[in-house]
Amino acid sequence: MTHAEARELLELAAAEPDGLERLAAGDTGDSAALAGHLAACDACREEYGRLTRAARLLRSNIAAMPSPGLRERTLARVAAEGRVRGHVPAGPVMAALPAAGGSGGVGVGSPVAGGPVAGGIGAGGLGAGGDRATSLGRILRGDTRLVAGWVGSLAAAVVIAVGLSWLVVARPLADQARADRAAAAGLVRLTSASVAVDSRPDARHVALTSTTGASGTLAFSPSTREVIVLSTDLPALEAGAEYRCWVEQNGARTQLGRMYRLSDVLAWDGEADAIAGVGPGATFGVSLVPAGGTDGQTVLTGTVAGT
Amino acid sequence: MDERLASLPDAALVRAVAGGSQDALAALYDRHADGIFAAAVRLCGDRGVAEEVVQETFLALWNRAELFDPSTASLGSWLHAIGRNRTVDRLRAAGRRPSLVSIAATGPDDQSEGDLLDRLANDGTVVASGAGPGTDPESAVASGELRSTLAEAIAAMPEPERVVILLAYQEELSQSEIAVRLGWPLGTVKTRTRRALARLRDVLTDELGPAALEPVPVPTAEG
Repeated sequence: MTHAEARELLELAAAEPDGLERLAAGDTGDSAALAGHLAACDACREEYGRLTRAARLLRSNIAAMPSPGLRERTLARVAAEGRVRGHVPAGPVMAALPAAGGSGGVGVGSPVAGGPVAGGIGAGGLGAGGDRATSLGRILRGDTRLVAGWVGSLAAAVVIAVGLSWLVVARPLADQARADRAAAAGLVRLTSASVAVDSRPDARHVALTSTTGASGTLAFSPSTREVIVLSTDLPALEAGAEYRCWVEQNGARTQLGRMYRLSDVLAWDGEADAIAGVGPGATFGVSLVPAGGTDGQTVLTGTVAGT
Repeated sequence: MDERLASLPDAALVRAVAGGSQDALAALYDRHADGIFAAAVRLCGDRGVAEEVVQETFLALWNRAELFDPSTASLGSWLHAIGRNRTVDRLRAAGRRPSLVSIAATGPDDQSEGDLLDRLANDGTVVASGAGPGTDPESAVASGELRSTLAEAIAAMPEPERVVILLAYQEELSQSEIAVRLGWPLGTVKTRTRRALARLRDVLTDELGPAALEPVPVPTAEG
């Protein structure tokens, strides 16, 4: 075994679960050869030690990192569900901070109501050109009812967002305007997330139905583990209850998350490890459960069709 | 995060949140969310639950900002307490017990072990003494600062490298499993894994210095 071969084995093992430990066990052809090399090579032995320490550091730190989309989802949920507070316009945030050391006004765009969300849509989402627009075009050319329903939901969300933006201009009540604008921004973000999922090469769609006439749409991508669930006609929640979405495959149900309301849209979007293994025959659903619980009445279900 | 917002103390940002500033809430998210998420993951071992806990913690901050009193506790302690309670609530609702955790895993760095013990005794969290995530050398430097630097480095990676390293270290997938999941040739996965690992090792060396990555003894097959 050469130095280069030994280094390659070590580096690859450093990124495997317990890879370096298994390599050190010497019970496979590769690991036995490596053990023989390490016994006579101080440099590679030191590299093994450095990689072991680096891998532990990386594993412990990376495993404890939230997914990148959590920030937007958190701020959107606060905007949708948080109490209505006096609106601080984007920009002079420091005006609200008399004890902040006299920093004066700061021009800061609101991450919920402005800049990053709207910029994301314009740059890569709904604008002409770009991968997402191409994928959206592919979806729009489809002829299934599922795709039509999905696009209909997206269109409805955009229409609501535009309508709420108009309300911001028209309504004189500042608190209501802030809440409306936050909801509109949330819907724009949700639309962006929908387009993102749809743009994945392996995106799948599921129609969610119920015996009561309520319906919803769902899209997911096994490769990226992204899911987005939308419904516009589920009944309003009573206090102490919540809607939770889930996926069931081979008899095992995995909770995805708690749905949140943005204007008339009830939604959940995010990533879930269970999505990686979802295939034809799996069932998605939404249940009405006591707050914090997981078991309750199923209100929407839909099955992943065969390819 | 805006530099001037980032320079403000927590208490000033909380006052701004109470006044309705979503920018201030975002700034506090950037400052505290990683730590709350990490603590929740350690407590429940479920990234999905931990993400919900983060959302609910910042929703609570938004709704109850007026209740925060900087003279009695740091914001980090306050948010970690909310996050831990939410985590325990989720586990109980799911019929699970909280993980056996070390003291060091349950709160922010600025809280004494005595304070933590008092709080934990009050809410029934199971605490183990002895070595924990905060006592071994690896976890001692698994701080928010290093995590933040690594997160920036990962975000700056080419997407194929970022995907493989996250699948490897967050989802504990082998390279063969990553190849199947992404539909990439195994050789491609290996190449991208090595490139990503090399970038992150450079970050570790820059952040911690070469001494922090001194070799550990090589175990032998015999024992």
